[in-house]
Amino acid sequence: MAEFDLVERYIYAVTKKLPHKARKDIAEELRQLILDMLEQRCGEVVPSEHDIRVVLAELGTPSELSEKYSSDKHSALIGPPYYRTYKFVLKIVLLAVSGGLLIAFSISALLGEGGNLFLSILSYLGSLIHGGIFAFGFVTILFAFFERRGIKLNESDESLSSLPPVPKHDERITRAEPIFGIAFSLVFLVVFLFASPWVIGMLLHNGQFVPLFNQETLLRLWPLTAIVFAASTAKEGFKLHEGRYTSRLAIAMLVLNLISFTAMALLMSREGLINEAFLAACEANFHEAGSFMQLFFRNIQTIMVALMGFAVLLETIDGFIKARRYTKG
Amino acid sequence: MEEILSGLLLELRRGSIVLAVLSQLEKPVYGYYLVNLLSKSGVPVEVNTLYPLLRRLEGQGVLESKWETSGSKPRKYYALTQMGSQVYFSLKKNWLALVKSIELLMEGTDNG
Repeated sequence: MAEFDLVERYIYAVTKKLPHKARKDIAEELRQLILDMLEQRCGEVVPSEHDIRVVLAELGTPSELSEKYSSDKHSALIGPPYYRTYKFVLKIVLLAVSGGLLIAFSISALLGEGGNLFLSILSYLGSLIHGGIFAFGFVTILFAFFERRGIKLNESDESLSSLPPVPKHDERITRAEPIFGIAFSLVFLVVFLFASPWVIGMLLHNGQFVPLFNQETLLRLWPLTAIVFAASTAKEGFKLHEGRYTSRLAIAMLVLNLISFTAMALLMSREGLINEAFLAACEANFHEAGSFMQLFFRNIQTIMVALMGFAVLLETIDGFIKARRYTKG
Repeated sequence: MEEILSGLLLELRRGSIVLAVLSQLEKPVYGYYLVNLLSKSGVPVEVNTLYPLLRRLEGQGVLESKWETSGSKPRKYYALTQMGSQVYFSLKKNWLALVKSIELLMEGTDNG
């Protein structure tokens, strides 16, 4: 019965990817169906292999039939309601990753670190592929998870009365701004964690580069840097999502800015963060004790925290003012 | 044009197949018998469409099935459940109303 072996192989191919519970039942039903079809085709005559092939062709290829048997639910990793958002987010994340890496590597190439330009470009391309794959995987897994769980991304109800008014020109947040912001925080992350000894510091007259930070301390405190990165990325992402200044955006900005400021302040106020050699070089370079530059670098930690606080404060206030102005009108 | 027409026809038929299937399942019937029956009645349905459809309807509780092993071959018989009968009843009512309305709509147009 070599001919019927073909039938069995066909049935196996159809059912092997179907849910375990239904497999046996579908197989048995298909078997009877094929026998019925053969009987109708050949009557009392024993069907030839050709007959079997014709009947199986009528049923379609195993994968076609199998697809028809599997329920539509979750047949795609990322289905229609999510796919557009997925593509949008993916585009932004990939843009931010490649832009961020490009800026980071341009800086280090400009500073002559790494020496060979060709090798720097190669290593940039390498990181680009690495970072791209990582970002792609991360976003895809996130959205696949949303799809599986049926998590709604747009919580706001779509009833007509709750549709927001069309934003006027200057209350609109252009997409470029948050994308740039995300790229910038990515540069911050890369520089702080990996490149600070070559990027942040002072170039001496003799061509020696003295880093400002102790890289070891920075690396040890990586969670703080990561928090700053996460909070500012979340902030920019929310801006992108809102597309306009609203009060909930202002509140989110306040909270996220507070988080990143706190993390930054904790990081900056840490003892041993500043490289001793840097301070020594300062003393040597700016001879007059009490000169402005010396005072500046002695208090660099306080100054950085103050600057950051000022920037964050400005942005938060700006967010609230704009939200107020535009939600009124 | 041919392609567009066949696509639209396919869509038109897709919904009506369920109704055709349900109409024949007041008494238990097995899949291949139903294929032949529908084809003779002028509503040909592909085997590889009907079988998965029967299973899906069973999963939804519209149909119930039973393996009949007393005959020469074991066969799976499908029939309407009580809920399925109600579903069929209202589908049928809607279908008849729809046909009537569409006929009215099309009355004004020339039929070529």
